[in-house]
Amino acid sequence: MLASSASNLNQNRFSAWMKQLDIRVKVLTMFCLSISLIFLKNPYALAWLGTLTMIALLCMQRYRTTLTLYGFLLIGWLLSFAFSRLLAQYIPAMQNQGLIQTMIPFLRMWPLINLSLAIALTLEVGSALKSLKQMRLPRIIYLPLMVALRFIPGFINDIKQLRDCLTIRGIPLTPWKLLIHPRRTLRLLFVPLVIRALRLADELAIAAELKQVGYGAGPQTAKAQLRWCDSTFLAVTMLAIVAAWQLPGANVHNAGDIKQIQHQTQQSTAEEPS
Amino acid sequence: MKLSKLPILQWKTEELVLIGTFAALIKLVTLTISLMGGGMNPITLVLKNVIATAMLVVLIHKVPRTGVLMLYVVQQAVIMMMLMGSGMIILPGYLLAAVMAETLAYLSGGYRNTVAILLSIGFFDIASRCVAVGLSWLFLRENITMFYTSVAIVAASYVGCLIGLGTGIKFVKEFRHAGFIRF
Repeated sequence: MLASSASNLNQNRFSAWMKQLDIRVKVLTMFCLSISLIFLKNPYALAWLGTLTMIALLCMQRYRTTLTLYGFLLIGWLLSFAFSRLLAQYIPAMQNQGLIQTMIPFLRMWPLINLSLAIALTLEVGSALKSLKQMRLPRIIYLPLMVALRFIPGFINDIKQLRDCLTIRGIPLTPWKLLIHPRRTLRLLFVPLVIRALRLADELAIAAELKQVGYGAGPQTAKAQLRWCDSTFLAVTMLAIVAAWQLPGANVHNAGDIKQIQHQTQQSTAEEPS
Repeated sequence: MKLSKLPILQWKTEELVLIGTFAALIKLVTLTISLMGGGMNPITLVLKNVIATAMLVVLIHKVPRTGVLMLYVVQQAVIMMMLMGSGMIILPGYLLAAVMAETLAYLSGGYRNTVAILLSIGFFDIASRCVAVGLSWLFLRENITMFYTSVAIVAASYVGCLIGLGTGIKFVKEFRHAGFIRF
């Protein structure tokens, strides 16, 4: 019991630490990671980044969400492998699609999914707005963004009200019913949603005009300061990315390279007898 | 909303609020439908794009100004960036698609003309999907099967966009009748 309470305390501490991080640092980290993942080909390096981000995600102890997501990833990979094998029987160029080739795109998505989930689970609208204020963005970008972030809780509330309303009218709001009656879904769910959004936008616009949001001196800006937690997070992730680039690993060719290599080997074998 | 004659960088608060609201609404609705369908579901894939395009048609009818598509793309990219960090990679491509779509709308009569709006959104959808295919090639280049699958998915999603153009016009007629759209 003591151990479980200690683990809960740790979980809260890690989640709280992640929540403390500046949204700009999180976004910068995600950006650097996604750029690196595009160019990284080494499966060991991708697995290294995936494992590190998975540890960070597991520290938040959201096991159910993580398992569901991994289940989807695993099913996707198995389907991809099965289709590769199936197509290889009809298309000769596909015969070189081995296990590693089918695995690499998933390995590339794995760290991104882990980190994006960790960021999404610790995103707070209030802190995001505060960070946006500090970014010195122009009014035409800052104002719609502020509205978009403020709109999310209202939208969730609207969906709940619409669901209750449809249930009272005897129309169940299950995914299956929504899918088999797309026309009804559009009429009963999306048209009211858009009308509510239009009304909400009008109300928000009046409120913003009355409060003079975005006029005059603009949002008060403050000099951004890198705190200890932000710099630690940034340094650790950058070190992990640099380490991933330095890792020795298997040389995996992409589909175009494989065709080129095949062509070269065919040419060389054709030239040898002569 | 009346047709605005303000310079391109001067926007009314009402217009900016509408763009923000619709950017969030489209992102949330498409995300919810994707999650509901469990990912690679062709029905939800088409439905998601029908709704996104229809809402975009409504947005442009509500804010018929040059630059609305570009602002919408920037908002979407920043929301994506805050949620997933991937918005910055697709932003240049999507912005280019938006600029070309806006130019097409301008050449075909501007946003006063419904046909110009439909042409512009149709072009934007296909151009942005080309960018998405390019990005998927970068991520899936080791597995050509998955890349072909992603091309098929993108093609199916464009069918949804084409249906969404018609649905959007129906929505606009209803909203105009209800007094939400005055132009």
